[in-house]
Formats: sequence, C-alpha cells, structure tokens
Amino acid sequence: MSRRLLVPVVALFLQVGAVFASSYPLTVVDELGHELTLNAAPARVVSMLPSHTESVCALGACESLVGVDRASNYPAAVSALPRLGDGFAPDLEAIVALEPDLVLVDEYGGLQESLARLGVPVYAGSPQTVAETYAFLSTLGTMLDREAQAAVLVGRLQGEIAGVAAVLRGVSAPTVFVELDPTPYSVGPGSFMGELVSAAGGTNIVTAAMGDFPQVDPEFVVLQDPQVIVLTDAPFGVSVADVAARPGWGGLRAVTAGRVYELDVDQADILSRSGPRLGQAVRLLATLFHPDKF
Amino acid sequence: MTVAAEPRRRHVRPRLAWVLSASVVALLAVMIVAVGLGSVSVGPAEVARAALKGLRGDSLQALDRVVWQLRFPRVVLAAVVGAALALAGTVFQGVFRNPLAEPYLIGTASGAGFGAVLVMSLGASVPLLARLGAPLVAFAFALVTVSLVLFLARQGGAVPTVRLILAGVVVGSLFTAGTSFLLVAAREQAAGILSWLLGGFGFSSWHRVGMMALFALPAMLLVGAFARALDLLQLGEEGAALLGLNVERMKLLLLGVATLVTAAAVSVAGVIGFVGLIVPHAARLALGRPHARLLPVAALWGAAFMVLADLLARMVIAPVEVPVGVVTSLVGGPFFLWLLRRRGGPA
Amino acid sequence: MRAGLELDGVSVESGRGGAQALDSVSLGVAPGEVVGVVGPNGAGKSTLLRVLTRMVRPSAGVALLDGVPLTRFSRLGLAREVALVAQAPEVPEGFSVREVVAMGRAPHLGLFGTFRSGDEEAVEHAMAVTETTAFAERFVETLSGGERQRVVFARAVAQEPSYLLLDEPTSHLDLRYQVDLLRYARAQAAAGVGVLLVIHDLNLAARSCDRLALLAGGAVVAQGAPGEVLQPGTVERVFRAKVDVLRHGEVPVIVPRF
Repeated sequence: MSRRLLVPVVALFLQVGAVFASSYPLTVVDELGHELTLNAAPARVVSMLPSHTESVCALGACESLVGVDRASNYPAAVSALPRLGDGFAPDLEAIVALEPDLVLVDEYGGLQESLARLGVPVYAGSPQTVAETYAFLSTLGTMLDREAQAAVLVGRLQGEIAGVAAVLRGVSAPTVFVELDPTPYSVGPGSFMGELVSAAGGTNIVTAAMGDFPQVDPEFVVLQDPQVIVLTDAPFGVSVADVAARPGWGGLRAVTAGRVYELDVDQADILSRSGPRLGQAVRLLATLFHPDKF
Repeated sequence: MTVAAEPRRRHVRPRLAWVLSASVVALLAVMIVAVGLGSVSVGPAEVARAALKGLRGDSLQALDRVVWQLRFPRVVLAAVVGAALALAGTVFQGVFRNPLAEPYLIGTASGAGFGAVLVMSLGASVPLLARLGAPLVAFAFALVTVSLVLFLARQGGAVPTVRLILAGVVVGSLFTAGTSFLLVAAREQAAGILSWLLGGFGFSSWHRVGMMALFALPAMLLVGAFARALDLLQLGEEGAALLGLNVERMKLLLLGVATLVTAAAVSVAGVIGFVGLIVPHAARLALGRPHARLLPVAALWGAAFMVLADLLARMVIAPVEVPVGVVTSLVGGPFFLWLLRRRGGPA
Repeated sequence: MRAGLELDGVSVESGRGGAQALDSVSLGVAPGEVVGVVGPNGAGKSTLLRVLTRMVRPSAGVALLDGVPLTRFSRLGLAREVALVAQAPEVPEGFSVREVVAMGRAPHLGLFGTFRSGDEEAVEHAMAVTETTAFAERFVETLSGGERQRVVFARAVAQEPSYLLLDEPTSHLDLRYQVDLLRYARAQAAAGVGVLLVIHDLNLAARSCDRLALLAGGAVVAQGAPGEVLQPGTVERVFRAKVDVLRHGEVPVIVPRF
C-alpha cells in the first residue's frame, strides 16, 4: 500500500476503533446501588457466579479470569482455574489473595459488602430476565473494554430468539410445566426460565399471579394437565417413572404421550444461567416443545 | 358443710356421648368440605360420585381423578396423621405428667427429619437412598434416635423421666445439627428440603394412607386399652406402683407406641408442630383428664384440626401451597397463649 | 401362719453412711388394731413405711405379710393387701372425686379390666365412710386440703386392703379434719383392717391408737399400750423436752412444761 494512504487509513481505524473502546476511568453503578470505578480494563477478574463466568468468556475476556466459584464449569477452560467457594460460602481470603481488579458477584449473600470493605473492586448483580441479561452483557462489555464484542453477542442472541419465533409463527403453544424440584417448585412467567419457556413457544401453566418461584399444589398440575413436562431436577434423581408414579399424575397428557423430559446436568445448567447461552436454552426448549419444527 | 378457701367450681361435665358424636360428625363434615375445596371446588354430590367410582375401580377422568386420587387420600391422610399426633401428644403429656410435653420431646422428629433430608440431599449420588425413599429412611432414623435416647437414659433397670427428656434434647440437637448441615450443603435442594421439614400433605396417596393406618390404628387400640394405666400414672410413679402398676414397663410400652406412631407421621408428612401439644390441652379443658374419655376425643379433634390446617394451607394462596407446619404454628401459637392466660397456667 | 404386717429385725442402711436409718426394728400390726408409730424427726418412721411398701429393701431382717416375706408377692398381689396414704399425696388435676377414689380399685381390676358392680360398690362404700359422697362429681383440685385428704383416704379404702398404712395423715390439717381422719382409721380397724399410723402428734396418737411404738435414731425404744410407752422419763429422754403426763381415763395426755 502506498505510504500516502497509510496514515489516513490508520487514522480511520483508530477513529472507528475509538467508538468501540471504553474510556477509563469509568464509573458504573451496580444492582445494589454501589458505585464502582475502574481505572483501566481489568486484567485480573474473579467471577463468583457461573453465568458471569460464561459471560466474561463469551466476551472474549476468558484469559483475564484468575478465579471462579465452585459451580462454574463452562467453558471447559475455566476448570483449571482456582475455585473460590460460592456466593453463600465464599473463600474470602483466597479471593483477596488473587489481587483481582474486578470481582463479579450476585446481589445476595453479603459478598459485596465484605469485598468493598477490603477495598476490592466488586460489581454486584445478576440478571433475572432476558432483557436484564442483555443489559448486563453490555455493562460487562463496557467494564472489560469489550463493548464491540458485547454488542455483537447481544445481537446474536436476539437474532437466535427471533429466529425461533419466526419458525413458530402461527404455531400453537403447548401447555408446559417446568419442575425445579419435586416438592414441587416451579417457575413463573416473570422469571428467567419462564421467559425462555414463552420464547420457545410454550405456555407455562404457572400464571404471573403465582409468583416467580412458587411451591405449587400438585393438584393444580393435575387439573391443568400440561402437554409437556420438563424435569430440571432430573440431575437430582427425579425420573419420568417417579413422576408417573405420583398420585393422579399417571394420567397426565405429558406422561401418556411420553413428553416428560429429563434434563441432564449440562442442559439444566444452560436453562438456569442467565448468560450467553440463553439462545441455546431457547433452542433446547423449542426442540422439546415442537419436535416437529426443530 | 365444708369451709373451702378456694373458689368452688361446680363442674357440669358434658356428657361423653354427646361430645363424641358431635366430634365424629364435625370431623366427617370437615373432611367432606375439605375434599370438595381446592383449586377447583366440587360439591358434595360430586364428591360422593367420585368416591363410588373410585371404590368400584372405574377409570376416572379429570375432575373425578383429582378428587379420588389426590384430594381423598390427602384429606384422609391428614386426618389419620392429625389423630396420631394428638394421641401421641396425649400419651406423652400423661406419661411425663407435664402439659408442655409433646410427641417430639425425645428426638423422634429430629431423627426422622435427618433421615428424610439425607435422602433428599444425597439421593442423586447414592441410588440406594433414592430407592429406599424418604419415608422409609426417615422412619428408620426415628427408631435409631429413640433407641439411642432410651439407651442413654437408662439407669439401673429404669428409665427416669428426667433423664429421658435430657437425653432427648441431646440426641435431638445432634440430629438437628446434622440436618442443618445437610440443608446448607445441598444448596439447590434447600427450598424443597425446607418445605418438607415444615410439613405437608402434597403427594399423599392411598398407599401412604394405608401405611399410616397400619401404625395408627393398632396404636390407638393399644393406647386406649391402657387408658386406665395412664390415669394411674397421674398419681406419680410411686403412687401408681403402690396400686400395683408396673411403672417402668408401662412407661416404655406407652412411649414406645406413641413414638412409633409419631415416627410414622413424621416420615409421611414432615414435622408438623403444635398438634401434639395443643389438641390434648383443648380436649382436657372440655373433658377433664380421665384418659378413657380423653384419648378418643383428642384423636378426633386432632384429625379435624389437621384436615382444616391442610385445607388452609392449600387455599390461602391457592394454587400456591403454604407448608402445613406454618399454618399449625400460626393457629397453635395464639391458641396456646390464650390457654395460658385463661387457666393462669397450663392445665 | 400368723396374721399381721410386720418387720422382723429389719435394718436399713442410711444412704449417707453413718448411722443406720433403721436398726434391727421389730414391730407389726395385726388385723383389727390401730398401731401408732411416733418419734422425733429423722427417727426412721417414713423409712419404716417404705420398707412395708417394698419401696426400700432392708439390709438385714425381713418384712412379712401374714408370715410370708414381702419379696414373694407380686406388685399387684401386694397392692391388693397393703394400701398407703402418703404424706403429701399427688392429687392429679382434672379428675372428679369419684374417679380418684375409683383408682383405688386398680389392683383388683388388672390392667385393662372394666369396672364391675362389685367395684362400683367398693367405691361408693369408700366415699360413704369418708363422708365424701357429697362431692363425688367435683374436680379434686377444687377441694380444700382437708377434703382432699379425705379423698385420698377414700382411695385407700377402695383398695380394700388388709393393711392400711398412713404417713402423717394429719399434718397441716385443721383439728376438725384431723379428728375425722382418725375416726375413719379407727372405723377401718373395727372392720378388720390392720392400721399402721405414723403420726407426729403424741396426744392424737395416744387417743387414737391401741398400741404405740416409739422410734428414735432408727431403733424401737418402747412398744406397748400408750400409757406404758408415754412415760414422762421416756418422753423427755427421746424428745428432749420437759413434760408432764396426765391421764384422761386410760389415755395419757402430754402437757409440755415451760
């Protein structure tokens, strides 16, 4: 390339790049209302929530992770990282010893307070809905100087969901019961999993009025007679046979039609983490709800 | 004729027959109402129809299925468990001669709770536990607990009541600690475990009703047969021995039966508090202490109370369920307070 | 076979080492008589009763009922023969007087026996002789102390024992109830029951008993008719109080000298 073009082209790149580069120092406010100021792009990140771990890696900042919580298992690379307990029983000393310049925690459990008091930069928050997931990914992108990647990721996820919606246009949504736990506990439409259910073309038998994580009367499930049952508690030993053996449940449509699905550990993880795999989650559910379309 | 310093209360005691028949009628009425109510209400005629179909073995559709396979067993199980706990409570209060005694005094609930939580938290990694199931393991642990307590409390050939209570507290705390630990360790199942611990009749089945009745009916007959012995124990252990009662053997027998039936109740329905404490009190207020009268009435009232509590637990924020133990505590607590204030001391 | 409830050379170790609670005591009561056991506190009177009810085992000697050692009786068998009115009996709340008295029938019923007409009669009779029929339906806890003691006595009568043991039945009672109770005791003796009465009040003892046994330091110091036992010298020595002993007919009356 002739040297006369070199400078303008470089200048152009720099300018375009500048639009997508975070400017430090930057201040963000986390979900607990605390302000966090970052002086530079964090190079030593600790994540105390599996969805945060996945988000960080999805934004291309996996190398910056120096420690993760006990439950983080995706992507495979993080298994080599030091384990730091979890949100309710964190290994505070180990976290501090790693000298992180950003710790990502959820807003429960008091970890934010402990770390802030020790002067460790901490962001407390966890997305509870799809919209919040997108917003969090953007915020995370800003914090990690990965704004461009965040925008791309969010766009991709939105596209995946839109794609599923397009295939399901005009298709009737089967009634679905998602079981979190054999008590039984389920999810309401306002929860993250509940939103995934409707995005995947399913109608949750649990209504908004019942709350986000209600303990349901088993009678209610029998009366609603869902067409599909998703067992997210299968990794804890709940099987299709167990469900069929429950009084009154043997006659449910989902049982007689063989549409009670046991999720494996990985699938259960995907569904429960409000992070970059939500597109996969919606796809997974859509496959269960509409096997003819996917 | 007599110069009495204390106020003389002329007690006109209600006729036993009247109270008994009224209690039976009330229980049946409550049960019919409870079967009819739920996330969908069903009239008594439909209830009867569903029952007939179910008993004949016809295949059932939708609402009939809900009524016969879910509501009926649930209500009947609640009644049997309530009766069992009230009976056990009456026995415990009689043997310990203490109005604050209740069926969980010697650690039964702590042991059973630990067993059930063990299955719920480790069931996935230990298939044997999952196969045995929570109720069976809970029952086994309840028996282990009580055996441990008896062993610790033994002194010479006897089991002094004070040592029994102390041993119960010690062993109970041990198992409660174990349960708490499991609760914290099994984070994902915590909500489910907590719900179970607080008590509920969610997955009652005719099978469970049968199992519970297997324990409860013989227990009621046995305890009823020894009602007179329970009366004699009120004279103090020495007083009873002087009247020819083999006090140690009777204590062990009565407590043993009461504990078995309590263990069964906890295994099937979780730890439901207050029933074993409050119902015997209320029955005593109405009828006095003679156990031949007290035991059947306490059982009937316990059954009705539990059915009502379960109904409330289902209906209050239907179709979301509140654990039954929460309802019994909310009702039982204030009632107990009222009892204390009224009598100036527990009866 | 000699009829009577007796101790023959019975000794009982005191739990705390030191002096024995009972030291080679020989005394007894025959059917139809009232025997009073008197003595200062700590003399062993209560221990004596506990041996007779098999609550305490003697370290030496033997307790006999109609010539048969007590140890040969079953618990029920003994309860059919011997009834005890304890010093501070537990009176359970929530029972009517009739129900408390009916508990006395337990040894004759067996464990889950039902009441037969003979039992009903025994209860009615027991209440009649203790004049408690009037409050048969009242809760026991509503009665005064004296009335309650009568009920406990009635329960013992309902037991239809051959021997009736009374442990300080008149302590804490008004004179009127003391007299009533001793009257009932004498009536039982007249009906053929052997009554052994541990009593504090020397004068009441002298008046109501056919024979007295004076216990001190775990040993029998004197036995016999009240007049013989309650000699001024003996009383002063045992009770360490100066007294005059007067006579009311055959019955000695102790009057303290200040």
